[in-house]
Amino acid sequence: MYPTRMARKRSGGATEATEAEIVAGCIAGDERAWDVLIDRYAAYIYAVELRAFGLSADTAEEVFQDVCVRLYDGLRGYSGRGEFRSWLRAVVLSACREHLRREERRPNALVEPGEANRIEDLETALAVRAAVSGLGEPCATTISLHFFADLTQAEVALRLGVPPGTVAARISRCLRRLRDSLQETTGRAPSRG
Amino acid sequence: MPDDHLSSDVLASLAAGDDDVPPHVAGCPTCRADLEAMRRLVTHLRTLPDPPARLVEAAKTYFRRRRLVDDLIVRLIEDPKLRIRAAADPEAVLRDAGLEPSPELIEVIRDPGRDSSEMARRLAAKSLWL
Repeated sequence: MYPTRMARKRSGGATEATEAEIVAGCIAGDERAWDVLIDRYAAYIYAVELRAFGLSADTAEEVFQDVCVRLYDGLRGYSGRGEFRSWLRAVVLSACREHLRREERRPNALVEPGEANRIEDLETALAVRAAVSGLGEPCATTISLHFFADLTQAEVALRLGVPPGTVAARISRCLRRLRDSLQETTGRAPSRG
Repeated sequence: MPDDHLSSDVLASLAAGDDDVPPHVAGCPTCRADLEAMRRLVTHLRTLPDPPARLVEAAKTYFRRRRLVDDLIVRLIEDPKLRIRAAADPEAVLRDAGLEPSPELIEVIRDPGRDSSEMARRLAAKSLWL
């Protein structure tokens, strides 16, 4: 439904780092590249653990840690062929499955996520989440605070120092822009509005 | 009549909030479909909430600490004098490298030439995590 590549232009014209650039930066030891990687994918990793595998919050944190270690150690081995997100998905699923096998003391058990389509939903959500940062400001921050950090519109207003009405208007406008941006990338006809 | 359709801003506002849906939507397939699409978008936005901030921070810190360990291991492999010092006083060598000594780290720097996957397994322990 939504684009799977992460490279895109911000509304201001500046290009965001591609996955290949981020991976190369991490391998070269660039802390900022790793920070971008974590900022971009942490919610996805955590959500797969919690929602697709039904891990408890404590266990999800433990597996999250394991995933980060695997990413660090495995990035050099990532060939760059194929989609980074597919590789990441394999790393996360493998960490979750291994954890469950250990927990259940059934080393050969085949452990699948609760529902395969949940992973697909999460990946669609990841693409939407990624598109938000491409909207530029003030949309990225406003949408992030309201939908990702789960702040009310009044709390977002307080945080940003703007009237609540401004936040409501921004959310409407930014949602429309987000929808248009996703439709544009997927080649659908521009919407009205 | 296209002019009768609700604007995208209004549809977005309806999808994001709890306002009552205007009666027009019920009788307008176009507006209904657009509102449904906007609601799906909002659902996707709410599907991936931020993970705990301390978890994200810990993941970022892990990279920095791990880099320090990796750099130290390279130096240990290349510098025999540093290896001798590390064997005698591993805590001091770790502190000089900016690392807090832990049993796992001490074991790693005492044998820096070990297999990298084995080292990774040891470093996966809590020693480098906040």
